[in-house]
Amino acid sequence: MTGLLFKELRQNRRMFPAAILLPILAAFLPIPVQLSFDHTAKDVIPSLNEDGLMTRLIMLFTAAALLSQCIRIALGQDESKKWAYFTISHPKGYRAQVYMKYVLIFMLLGLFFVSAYYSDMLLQMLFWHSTGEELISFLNLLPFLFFFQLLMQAFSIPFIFRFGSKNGSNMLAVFLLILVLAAVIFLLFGPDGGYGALVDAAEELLIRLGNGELNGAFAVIAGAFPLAAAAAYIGSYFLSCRFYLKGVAEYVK
Amino acid sequence: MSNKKLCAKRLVIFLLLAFGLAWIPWIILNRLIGYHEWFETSHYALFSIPTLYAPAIANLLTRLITKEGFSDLKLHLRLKGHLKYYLAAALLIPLLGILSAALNYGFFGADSVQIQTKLDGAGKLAAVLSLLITAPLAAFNTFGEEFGWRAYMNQKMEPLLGTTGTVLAGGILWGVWHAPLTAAGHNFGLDYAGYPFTGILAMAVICTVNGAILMWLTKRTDSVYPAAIYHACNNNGSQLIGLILLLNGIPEITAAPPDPVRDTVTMLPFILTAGIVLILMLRDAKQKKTAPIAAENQATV
Repeated sequence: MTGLLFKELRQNRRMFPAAILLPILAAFLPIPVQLSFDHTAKDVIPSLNEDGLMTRLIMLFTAAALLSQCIRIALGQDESKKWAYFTISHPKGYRAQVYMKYVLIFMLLGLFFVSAYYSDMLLQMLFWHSTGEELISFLNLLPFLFFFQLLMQAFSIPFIFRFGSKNGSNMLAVFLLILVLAAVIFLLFGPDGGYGALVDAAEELLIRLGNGELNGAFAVIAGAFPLAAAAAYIGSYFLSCRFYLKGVAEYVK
Repeated sequence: MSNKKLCAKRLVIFLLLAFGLAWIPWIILNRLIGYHEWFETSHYALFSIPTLYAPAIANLLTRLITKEGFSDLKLHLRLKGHLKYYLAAALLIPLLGILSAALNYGFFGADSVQIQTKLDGAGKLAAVLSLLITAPLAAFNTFGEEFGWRAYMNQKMEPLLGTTGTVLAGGILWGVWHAPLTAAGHNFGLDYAGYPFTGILAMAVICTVNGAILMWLTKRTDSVYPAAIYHACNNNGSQLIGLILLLNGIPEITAAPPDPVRDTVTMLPFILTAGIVLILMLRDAKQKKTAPIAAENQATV
């Protein structure tokens, strides 16, 4: 197992600086971006709490999306029949190979989280020194982003193991498209008024949320979400193990 | 140099580094910026977490200085067969916290705790879930301490002082390590009898009790992560889960002055658990000692 972990760490050594640097860039790139939006050097830092807030948020989610791409590359590096058959004959079997991929992805997401955490704290310190005010912090958002990334990976990794990194993305897109199409068909032709009923229900939901009637339920969902994401990630490992051999049969080389 | 002398030398170097690397910045920051400003606000949060990594840095530096090498770092997850200890690390604090809250409630009444926010059923569930889930994630804050104290100091101390000695001396040293923060009011505020010495003493007792549980988790799994998770649960306020459930609200968290009677009663579940895990560790140590002799006897037969 240690050997496989070492292999993953060595093979993906360039991914680790990426996981650290992406959140740093996401935290500090909004400053030059804000400068380009008619802000002067003097008011660029204060603007981070106003219209810059959205820029910061977009940058953070872009960084998270870029990390997902890095993870996809990391997953595709072992797509060779020779290596796959070697891991199958390995005493620990192909399960160890799959397990280490999951460990690697968890490490990358963890590094991203820690780096984003420190970057946010550094930005807070700079902001407070420049303006004497508190910067709107993302520290409470970051754990949710971490679990959201975990959930997304839990969903996409089995596809990559089953269909390969290239086809896996396409298959995932097709799968999502089928889901959306099925939902649209159901809404258009389904019972209980279809689309109109959904719009009414969504409207009612928004009104009840706005009135604070659903605060409790919303808080429970928010609290249970990390647990669900972690469970999905663990479940995804078992699913990937089941798909691994079928995926190997489809490797090109 | 004998093995014990070598252990002692490494332990002294480790302690000098762990204390020096934390205390020097803490004292400077306390003097220059003020404790409240650098530790309790978000303005200098960037400094507060890295200083808590002093024991981890001391671990690595000691290994480098004494040419010990980097084996047995206890960085393996060792999940197989040890999942129950990971679960224990995440759930012990909330469970002991429930018992602790029940004792507090029973002995001192509901009025002994101020309620910050009243919660309904869903609110309670949400508060409990968020405390349970975010604590393990906060383990990266506490990993620094555990990688130093449990993954290194205990290893070097046990051959010198035995298991009980390590629990006691290690806990006291760990508690005293917090002294600049305790003296600045971090744990018990500034207004109490015998300030700051009773505060430091109380911290040493708390650290000894928790240190025993942390040492047991580390020894059982041979990994530092369960200890980091337990420590994160403790720092994250998971012990408040009991009070949240009993009082239907989020209790007011303030640095209360040490109160020997109340603190002993509320810490009773933790003290008992520490006692039990100490007995378990002593039993393990005895088994380890007798195992080679038994094997030798069997071989001669």
